[in-house]
Amino acid sequence: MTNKTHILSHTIDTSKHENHQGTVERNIERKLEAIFDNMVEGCQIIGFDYRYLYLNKAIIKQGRKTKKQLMGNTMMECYPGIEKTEVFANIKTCMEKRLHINMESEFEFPDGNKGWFELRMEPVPDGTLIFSVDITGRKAADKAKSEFISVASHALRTPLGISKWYLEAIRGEDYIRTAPKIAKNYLSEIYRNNERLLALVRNLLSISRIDQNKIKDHPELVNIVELIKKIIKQMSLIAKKRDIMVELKLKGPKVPKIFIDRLRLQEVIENLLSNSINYNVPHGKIELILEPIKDILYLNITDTGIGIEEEDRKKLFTKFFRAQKAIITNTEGSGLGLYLAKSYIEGWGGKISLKSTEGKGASFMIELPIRTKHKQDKQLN
Amino acid sequence: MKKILIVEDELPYQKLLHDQLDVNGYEVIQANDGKKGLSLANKEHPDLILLDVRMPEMDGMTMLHELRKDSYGKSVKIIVLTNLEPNDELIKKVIDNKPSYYLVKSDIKLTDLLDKIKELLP
Repeated sequence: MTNKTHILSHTIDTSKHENHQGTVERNIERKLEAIFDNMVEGCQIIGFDYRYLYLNKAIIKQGRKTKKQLMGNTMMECYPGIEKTEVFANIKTCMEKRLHINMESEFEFPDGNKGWFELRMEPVPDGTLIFSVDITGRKAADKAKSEFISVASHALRTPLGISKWYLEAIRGEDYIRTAPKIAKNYLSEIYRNNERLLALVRNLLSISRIDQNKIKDHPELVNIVELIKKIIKQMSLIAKKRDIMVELKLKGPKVPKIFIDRLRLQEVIENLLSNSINYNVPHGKIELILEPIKDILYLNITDTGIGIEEEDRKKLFTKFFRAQKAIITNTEGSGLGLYLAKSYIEGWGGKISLKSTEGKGASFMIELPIRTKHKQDKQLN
Repeated sequence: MKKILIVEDELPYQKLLHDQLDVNGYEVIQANDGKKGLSLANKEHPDLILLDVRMPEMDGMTMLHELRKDSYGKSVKIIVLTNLEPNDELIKKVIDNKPSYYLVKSDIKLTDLLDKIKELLP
């Protein structure tokens, strides 16, 4: 064997391997894109020149523009005036100082609509990656909740404050000894406000249960005709005081017993009837008409009272709403009765609607599904 | 005799304030809402106005704003009485119109209110 040096050449064809690696990368890219595209969170990449480089489906929806309108264009071109917003300032900071930024911001769209967004900004090699969640609904719920607390605390403070001052007057002036007539009068005022406070607390608790879906119905077979007669009798004293005539009329076939929560139904009818009395004119009339048609029981309560203005009718069934005219006529209502009535009735699968002409009275129509115990049992099973 | 105007939609408050001011030797006039309150104030020129904020027809903030437009309205003493939270938007606007006092009804004693009235109407 000679001692010759041989050059050994070994060639490996790697093109297949490179192709395979490229395919893997492309697959990963596609999978990532599919994941990003189907995320609930909005996702966008903004380039250093503030051009949109990537947008997923969620951000297109949030941004209220098409992908075509946005891709490749600058933020300033797509949303004129954005450069003056806090969001833009933070994107700029993230872009230039390479900082992570979290923020919540209200954004006004070119059409004037507004939306709240929770934003997470991350610096990436191409610019800034922004994840966003539309929190407009949550913000509206937070606002409604704090407004509710504010209105509820005002409503609670009023009867409490009244009682406090009346008690102070009775005690400080020693009215019980020196002026028993005034003392008696003031004590009646305190008692009335205490009742008002208790009714308000009861209503607030009911609302809280409705909001948490914790209303527990205790249905039983109820003779609604007897129940209405009982309520009319209970309220006859107040009606008589104001010289208001209350009449119950039965129409159509015999009214069947219905399977329903007796106490809540009583609360609903009492509420509507007391409104008809309190907001009626002296010597006025109230007519309750009960009529079963097929599987629906219709209860119509019509009064000759002050009526409800058209603008107020839309808000009448919302929490704490009281029509201007109602406040003048009766300062003590809480604005919760009709909201509760609507919640209960709809919970039973029924409806409540209103017809009213301002100054000519109001007419509330309740529709209740006629259920027998048997049907209810079936439903529960 | 010093004249006081009560502008208040809650009748129990109106009744008690009327009684107590009457006993203390003031002439009392009253209105159930801001609109009537404004017209009564401009007509009767009371020395002091006790003004509620949340009222039908016209709220206390609007009444105060309207009242401050002329020379009588600019100088009349006003105690704003409310049960609204101090951070309520209406209250912020009320304070901008510089009442003599802004008091939360449920937080103060009736005697404290009467003392403040005596202080403003010596």
